[in-house]
Amino acid sequence: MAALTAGEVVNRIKTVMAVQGVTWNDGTTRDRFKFGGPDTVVTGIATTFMGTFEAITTASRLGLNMIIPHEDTYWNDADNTLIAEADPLVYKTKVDFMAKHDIVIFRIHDHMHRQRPDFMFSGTAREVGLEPATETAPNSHRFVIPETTLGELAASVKKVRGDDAIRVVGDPRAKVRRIATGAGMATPAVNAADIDVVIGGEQREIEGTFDSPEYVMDAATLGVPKGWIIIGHNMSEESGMQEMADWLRPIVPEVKVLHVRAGTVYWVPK
Amino acid sequence: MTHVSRRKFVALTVGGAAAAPFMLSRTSAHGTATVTAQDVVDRVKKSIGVEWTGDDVDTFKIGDPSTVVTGVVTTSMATLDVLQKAVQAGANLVITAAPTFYTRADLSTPAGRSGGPGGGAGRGQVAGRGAPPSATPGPSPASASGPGTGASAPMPPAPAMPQSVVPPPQPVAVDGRPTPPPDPVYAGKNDYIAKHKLVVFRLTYHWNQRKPDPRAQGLAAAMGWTRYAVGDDALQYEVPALTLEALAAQLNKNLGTRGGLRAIGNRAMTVRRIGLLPGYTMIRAAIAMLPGVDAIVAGEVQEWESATYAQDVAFAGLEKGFISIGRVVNEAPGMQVCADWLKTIVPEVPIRFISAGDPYWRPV
Repeated sequence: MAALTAGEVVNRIKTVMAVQGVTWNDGTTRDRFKFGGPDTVVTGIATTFMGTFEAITTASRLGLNMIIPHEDTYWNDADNTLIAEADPLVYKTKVDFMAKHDIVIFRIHDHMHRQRPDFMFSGTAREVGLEPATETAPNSHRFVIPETTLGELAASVKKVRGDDAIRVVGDPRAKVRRIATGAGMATPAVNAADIDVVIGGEQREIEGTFDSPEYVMDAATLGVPKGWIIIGHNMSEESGMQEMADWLRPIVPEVKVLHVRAGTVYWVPK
Repeated sequence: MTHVSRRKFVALTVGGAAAAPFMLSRTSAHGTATVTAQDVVDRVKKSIGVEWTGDDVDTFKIGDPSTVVTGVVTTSMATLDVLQKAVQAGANLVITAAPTFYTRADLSTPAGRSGGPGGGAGRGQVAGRGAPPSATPGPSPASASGPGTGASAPMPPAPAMPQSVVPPPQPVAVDGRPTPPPDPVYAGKNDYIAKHKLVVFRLTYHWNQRKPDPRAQGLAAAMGWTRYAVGDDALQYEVPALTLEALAAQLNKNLGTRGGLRAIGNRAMTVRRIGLLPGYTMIRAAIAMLPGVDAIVAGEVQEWESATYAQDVAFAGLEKGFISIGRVVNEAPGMQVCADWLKTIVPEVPIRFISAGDPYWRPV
């Protein structure tokens, strides 16, 4: 049997996606090879949130040389290596490691978000403890739960996820039950009349799509029950890469496919 | 360079907002001359020391510019809480770094929806404002402030954007049909502003172009670092050695942050050289600064850019730290500096800074 190449893995991804209704767009700058190329022989595949040095190292130690990250590898969305090359601290170390260990990286972002379900949303819901049965409709990303307080809801999210750097805006005593979830920057605004709380990944604090933190602060002053639970871009999208590994496994039966976490981004002072 | 004492800043940031209001009277010790909101803004434009580039974000957001000013409050963000504290303090002109109405466009009513009685026409109360800025939602990379704003574009929110990202268009009232209920938060804020005849002006784009950067200058003052400055741009400090963990804790204490401060790097590493990246910055700025310092203290960055960079550097075992304090928290010291500067050009009325605080808390 011929060895499995990275190009063949990508071809199968494109084929299966097309069958599932997601035709491949070659125009994207995101979903491309970021290191190595189609001829690299694949020893195993690691899906991960981001092409961090930690994810690459962990995958390599597990014998997996093909990394499929959702986000970038070179600290900018376009993966413009000219930007990263300006860094004298770690860029060369990272690239040398990848070359030495025959790493190949193929990013998958835009096409994942076009899949239904969007694994980034279903993964987030799973990892923050929202039961699928409470979703108002398939892929609505809206959940109605038994009434609780913002403080209790945030505590339960933290308990399930375990991360420290979860940030919350709003009155902890606010009574809430209608939740909208977000993944990464695709985090919905909190001002919709039929939403009490948004649980999302990342948003500009001001001058983003909508300045939800200020809106929730004002809502708290007025006694309008609103909440904003922001768990981090990484935390909101890492979980969906577990679903991606599960999706990939049957189409590349020749090799091992694992989900490898990109690593904790932030800690908070004790 | 306006000096901000550390004690003064801390008092105003942490507990100062609730401190006793200053007594205000138009015929008080400040003299009998009256000054309007427009007068204040005209003096700002004349004296700010950077070219006023016309109608950008730095405009009146609500209220009548011809209002006679009883007192001025500068703030990091004109939340309703800050507006209430301003009124308690007898001030009626609020100068804010962040938007008042939740978007860069700063419209006092959400698109297609009533802002509620008393304030729905807030936009119409604003005189002397040129063509309104684009109301197109979405990130505005061109407006990103701070040094080193790179060419790398933020990730467009194209994929799978949930429907509630922007205020949904509401049906136009037709005979026999009820009008949609007003957004209670817009309505409540507009009502309060109308009732107390407040005027809100945003001052950020031009203010933050001053040299040194007021946000960096004010942050250093709040931290007691001014005397440790390296160079004259207020962006780097050589401080007595401390651990990254201790630095994070000191920032928390002195800036009054609750849940907004987050850090990357070995907690036990030693920090001597600190670099500041005020406001919202992109990856080129972090790459340019981190090699020359032990730790960066930034306002706001995108997670897939500077945060991941710092994560990779730390994973490689290098002793480098990165701390994000939050955008609104980072605007506060700059607006403290602004209050002190305004006192020199508007001597007729009392002026003080009131912080919007840290928006975030952490679950237990």
